[in-house]
Amino acid sequence: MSHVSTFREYLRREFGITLPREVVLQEQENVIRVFSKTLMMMKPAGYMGFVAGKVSTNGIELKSEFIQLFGKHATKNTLELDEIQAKSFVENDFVEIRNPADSAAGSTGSGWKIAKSGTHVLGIGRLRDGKLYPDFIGKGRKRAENSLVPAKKQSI
Amino acid sequence: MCMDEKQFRDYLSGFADADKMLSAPVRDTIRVNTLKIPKAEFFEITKIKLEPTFYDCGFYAESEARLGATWEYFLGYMHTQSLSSMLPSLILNPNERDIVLDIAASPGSKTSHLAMLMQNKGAILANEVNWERGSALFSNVARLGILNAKVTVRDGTKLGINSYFTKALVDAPCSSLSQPYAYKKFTPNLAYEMSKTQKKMLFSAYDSLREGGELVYSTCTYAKEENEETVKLLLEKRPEAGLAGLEFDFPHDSGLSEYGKEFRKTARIYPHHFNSEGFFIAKVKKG
Repeated sequence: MSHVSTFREYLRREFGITLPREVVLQEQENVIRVFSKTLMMMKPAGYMGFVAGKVSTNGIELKSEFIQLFGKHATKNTLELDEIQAKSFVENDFVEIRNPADSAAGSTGSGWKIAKSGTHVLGIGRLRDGKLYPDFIGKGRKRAENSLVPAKKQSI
Repeated sequence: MCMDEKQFRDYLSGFADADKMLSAPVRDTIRVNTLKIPKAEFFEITKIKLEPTFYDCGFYAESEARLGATWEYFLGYMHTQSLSSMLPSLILNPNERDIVLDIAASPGSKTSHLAMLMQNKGAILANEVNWERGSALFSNVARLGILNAKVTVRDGTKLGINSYFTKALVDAPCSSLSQPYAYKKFTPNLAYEMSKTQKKMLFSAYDSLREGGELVYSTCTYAKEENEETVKLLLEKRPEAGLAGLEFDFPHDSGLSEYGKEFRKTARIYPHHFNSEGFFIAKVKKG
């Protein structure tokens, strides 16, 4: 089985994610990249789309940016975070999950989970011993300084 | 020798109202990234105070937090981008069937805007000469959910691709004279040196266009050597090339007519037009 097939099967099995037909996965330099089918027509060689994740002997890693785009299709192994938890998660801190079954959709007590907060897909993290550890953002853009609490709707 | 403030003011007065330009405040703006969130939903969730502009996805923005350190930014719902720098993509106006070259793409503001206008369809070649600057491009492509861009790291002045793209954007490296205090580093020789690279890049992008293709050339400088003069050389050396109307309504001055009447079709944007950084924009049609 190719790494791309393994990756696609993992998405379906673990999260119930089936990617839209217009989206392509391709292995390039040991990572799986995701891009639009229309990009196939571009001839000059280069880096297609962006990195979706990696298949290695250690298992499969998913990138949060990929999950932010396609996590809305997930039907299992998602965790609904409240406002305070979501803030911690985005700040790259672990989040206490008291009872995964209370906040998780089709989730077991450990392993990779898609973190959601309301309509927002925040990314992916690993649940271990009641804590969700984000696999998240670079140091340079680690801290969110504001809150994602729904604001009073602006009429623009 | 570099300029002081008085010399800069005199320099600007040669082609514009220096007092107005230098006294106009430049405001922060953001672009809502509709590839990741519908505009209406963004208005519902954001705490950033927004004020509309002439572009329906571009907003003046005020926030207690730094705009680049907000959740909205991390989740790729928006991009901090000057209003002026949204114009080149809007003027190029790519559609879902276009094959687009962005020859100097990093940090990816315009690449991601092009992708948004194309709704992640079609194809963009986002090129950057420098690996270090390229990392910002890779990062923004991922954060903003861009699926229709291929990133290359090559010297844009020597692209060597002929008659391939339907549209091209040359947002050229420049002396950045519209940036605060850039005049302190500006010399006529800097403009001359920059224009040499710009001309090579412009010709490289133009030659990569198919017949009937369109190109937008832009800089964030006021120096005419880097703007009208660079475009003029292309028009002289490629007789089938012609300036096209910008076909997007926004406040601006026309380009300098000392280079010919046709330069009325180009745009010079100064801070007092809409409280954004200065820009030069020209649209060229091939054949």
